[in-house]
Amino acid sequence: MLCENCKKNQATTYLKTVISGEAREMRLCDECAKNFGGFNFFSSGFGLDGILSGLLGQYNTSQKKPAGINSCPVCGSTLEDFSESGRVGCANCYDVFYENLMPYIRRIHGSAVHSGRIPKRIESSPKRRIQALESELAQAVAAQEYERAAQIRDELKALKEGDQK
Amino acid sequence: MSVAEFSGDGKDIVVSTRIRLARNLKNYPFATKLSAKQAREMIAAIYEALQKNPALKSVLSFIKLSDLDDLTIQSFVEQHLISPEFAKSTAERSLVLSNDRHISIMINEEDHIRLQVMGTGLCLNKCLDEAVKLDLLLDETLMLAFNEELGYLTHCPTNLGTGLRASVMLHLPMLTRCNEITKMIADAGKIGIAVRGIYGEGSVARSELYQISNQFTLGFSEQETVERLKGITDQIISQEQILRKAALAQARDEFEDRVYRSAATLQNARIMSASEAENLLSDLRLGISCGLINGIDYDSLNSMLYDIGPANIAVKNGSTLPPKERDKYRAEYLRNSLRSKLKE
Repeated sequence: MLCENCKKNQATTYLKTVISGEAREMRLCDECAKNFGGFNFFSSGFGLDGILSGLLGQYNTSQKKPAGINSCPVCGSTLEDFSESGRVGCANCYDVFYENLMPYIRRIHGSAVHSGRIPKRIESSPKRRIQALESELAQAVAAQEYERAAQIRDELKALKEGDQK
Repeated sequence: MSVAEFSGDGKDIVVSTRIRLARNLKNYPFATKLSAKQAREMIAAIYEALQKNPALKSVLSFIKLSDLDDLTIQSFVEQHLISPEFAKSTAERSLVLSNDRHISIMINEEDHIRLQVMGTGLCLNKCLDEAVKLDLLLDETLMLAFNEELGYLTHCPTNLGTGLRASVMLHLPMLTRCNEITKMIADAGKIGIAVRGIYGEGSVARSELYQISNQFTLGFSEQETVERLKGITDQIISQEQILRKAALAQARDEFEDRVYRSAATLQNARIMSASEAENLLSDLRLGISCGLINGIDYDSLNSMLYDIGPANIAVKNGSTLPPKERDKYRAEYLRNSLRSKLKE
């Protein structure tokens, strides 16, 4: 029997993997078994990569492309590229193809809003600072700490004016 | 920054802990669209960012993968320091490795930066803290690709958000032998935890080791991800412990017989394949955890699991060894490592 992966050499190894309950059986040659065998700590998608590209493939036949945009102006990737590889070409692709990618990202993760760490440059951005101060202001008012609320309001005003300049 | 002691509890069942963060640079296209020139520039920029911390710089090695021979690269794969994909890639790649091998940073793998911190036993928080320190250092100098809604932007959308993959490798011989694993895998899957086992011929997992990790990276903070994983890991550990106690109480003779036979084979065999060695070491680990075997600790056992890999045997004993010769060296290595140490 030939190796199911390379289809060139004689299969010598029987390999059964179970990933999230899904069993997969393979008969491989020595060389391919080396690559498949053992733990691959690093594989990213737990089989989700294939599902994702499948979902993007569905897009191509069932939905419209974004008006006037065929490829990402930064890296040149197209939606067809995504549907083949399940991977985007650059960070900018997420902006360019936002409308097309979001439904699939939601399906993969069940959620589509980041919760967690953020880079310093974003954390200290005026927008973030204003959001944080607004929530502090609401808390101060609710606790009837009016002196503190007035201080926060002044700080907010200065920030918002600065932001408009 | 000092390289902390990456070690935790539960070593009778938890072999190792790993935290991985995926990061990309905003101003460079992702791996498949990156030119060789851009890759070289990017590698230099990442080196510079990491070298800003003198204490860290002194414990890190900066390695160009093209400077290494294939066997050394394969031995890194066996030690889980790099991915098989990274080893095979023909792109400009670089590896940053700490002297104690707890930190490994792949540059230009699927993502520009794949940063991982590994420890022995259950030490998710320690590894996460160290990974965050490294991330902060990168963030000081580099413009990381980030979007407020989608978090850290990655080549594959499955890693969007925190870019965090937290995982523990568990030794679950009794859950395996009692056929409880399938149910556990299904239950874990329902709450976003993936369980991976690698099986050899038949239905018995090789080394009876399983990797448990989070599936989702978007919508959960780093801390939540780690806590959820810790929660399910604790439950699995207690189930395995219950089964071990029951097996010892109900079938002590058979249990002891298997452990001592495996120990005897490891100390006396003259030819040993990697998979046979993995299975025997699994019995030995079980024997240690039940107090049947003394004289060797879990950390030594963990290093042995790496040392018996075909490439690691070949690196130490000559690169052109045919498989049969490797099996002889493996048997010799195990005899030398265990013979004078093991005590009943």
